[in-house]
Amino acid sequence: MWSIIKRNFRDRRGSLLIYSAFSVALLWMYIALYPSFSNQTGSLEQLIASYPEGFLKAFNFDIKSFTTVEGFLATEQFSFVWPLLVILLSLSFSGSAFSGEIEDGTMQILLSQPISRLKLFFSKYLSGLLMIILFTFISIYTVIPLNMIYDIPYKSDNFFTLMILALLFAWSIYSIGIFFSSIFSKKGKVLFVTGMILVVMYVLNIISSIKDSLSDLKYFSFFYYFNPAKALVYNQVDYWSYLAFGIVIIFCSVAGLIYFNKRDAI
Amino acid sequence: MTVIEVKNLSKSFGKVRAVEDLNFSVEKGEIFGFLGPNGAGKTTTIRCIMDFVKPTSGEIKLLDRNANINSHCLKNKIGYLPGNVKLYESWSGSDHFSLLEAISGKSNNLSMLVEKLDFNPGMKAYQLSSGNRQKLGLIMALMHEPEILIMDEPTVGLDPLLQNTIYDILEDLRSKGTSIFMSSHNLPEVERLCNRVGIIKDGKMIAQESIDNLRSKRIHRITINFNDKFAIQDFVFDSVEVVETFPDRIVLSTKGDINPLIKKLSNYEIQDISIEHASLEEVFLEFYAKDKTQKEDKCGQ
Repeated sequence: MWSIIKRNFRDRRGSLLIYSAFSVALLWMYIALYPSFSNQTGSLEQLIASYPEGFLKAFNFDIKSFTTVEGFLATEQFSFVWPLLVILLSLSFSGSAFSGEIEDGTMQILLSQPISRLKLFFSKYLSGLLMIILFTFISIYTVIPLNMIYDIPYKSDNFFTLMILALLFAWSIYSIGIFFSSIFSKKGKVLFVTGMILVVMYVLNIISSIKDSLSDLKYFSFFYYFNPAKALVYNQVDYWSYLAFGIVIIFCSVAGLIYFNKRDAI
Repeated sequence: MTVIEVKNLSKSFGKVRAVEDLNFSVEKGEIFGFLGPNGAGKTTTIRCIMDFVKPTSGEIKLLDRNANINSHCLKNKIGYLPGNVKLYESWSGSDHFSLLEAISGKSNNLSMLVEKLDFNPGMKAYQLSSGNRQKLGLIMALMHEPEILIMDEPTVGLDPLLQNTIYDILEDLRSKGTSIFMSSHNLPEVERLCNRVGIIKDGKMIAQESIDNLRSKRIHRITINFNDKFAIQDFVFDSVEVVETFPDRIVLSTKGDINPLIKKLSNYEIQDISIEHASLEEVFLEFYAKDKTQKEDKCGQ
């Protein structure tokens, strides 16, 4: 099992490095810019106050978005760019896990070896998950040395809370990808279906914050449960976020395992 | 001892029935050839045996154990070589070997196989020619000295030299007691290697014969040059077919016993006679023709 995890890790370390480097570079840029933003707090507060409430809710803008480094990063990095990166990374790893191997014909190599499908599933699953954990850790915790370099005060507890929330968000997307990867034999199909589900979730979250009568739609969106501003600025994560992400992770992972164990894997 | 036993195996993909009610067995130390044209169901059968695809119905036993339930335990004892070897393109041969060694344990014969097949394990898979890919696949299938070797068209697309090397390896394995199940549509290969053959068509096994029996059903192609004229009606009887006639020469195709024909020929003065053994291919085509005629008869009724 560890041999497959090690191999997967070796094969995907390039993309992990690229994504991590890009995320760290963006983080560095925002942290380097932050001191100049914080000098104009007054005018920024006025600007934010002039935005419609729905717009602020939809994009996780908060009055503290530009007055604390946590709020600033939550708005600039963790509300849009970081989710996009983690979605791409999770889909890439989950798509390659099973459907990618089946599409390339290399699943035959693994299935002709004395390893059960259960172990094979967990080897593939864990290798992707470990890389996602690593990416999440690097892309969030690099904030601390960067803040130190620029002498910006920060709250390390809040970054830990964000790390937990971000990890659940990424793991949920990865689990959905794994589920479809267990079903389909084409990687492109996995990326398309999972991508479409996420686009629909994103749109539902936007619509729910713009129109009050449709506000319940937000409960069907990961982007409602993933609220980096609340985690970073207020050090809080909703109980419902844990529940929603937990249910998706468990359901998709178990369903994927059951299907992969029974399917024609060629 | 039976090492592979397939009972009433059927496999459908949606509405398409790829394999239907297949029954056969392979004994220890024998090479069983699985013959059939493209799309006959050979690869599907092999994939069911390897548990890559799940049978719709029926049972497969390997070494007396259910192949679908005990799949991963049995694979310690099985070597598998697909027809078109798929590899991790960015990996070298050594990377493939080390993964397999990490899963299945250290190989005792890896360096011997690499040397025998003259394979360079340092090259990346995407740099390998089709012949070298097949060599890599073969080493991967043999490196843990399997009791059963399952191969899907092992020499397809290979040059005759490499084909002969593979034949030598397989003959050597048979002499050591390895049981081999190989699909092929290369009849000379089957004729050279196999003890028994199963012939599959449209997902159904239409015949199972030992190679010796198959040879006894051989067709002969006989060309006779006469010193004088001959009467063509003398050569019109059961199991003889007139292929071509010339004023002083006749070409015949016979099935089975050729003694009745020889007796007829004793009435003539013969200038020259040549008797060629028809290839297994012609025998194989004969099976297909028979199957087709039977089907047409049924439809007619």
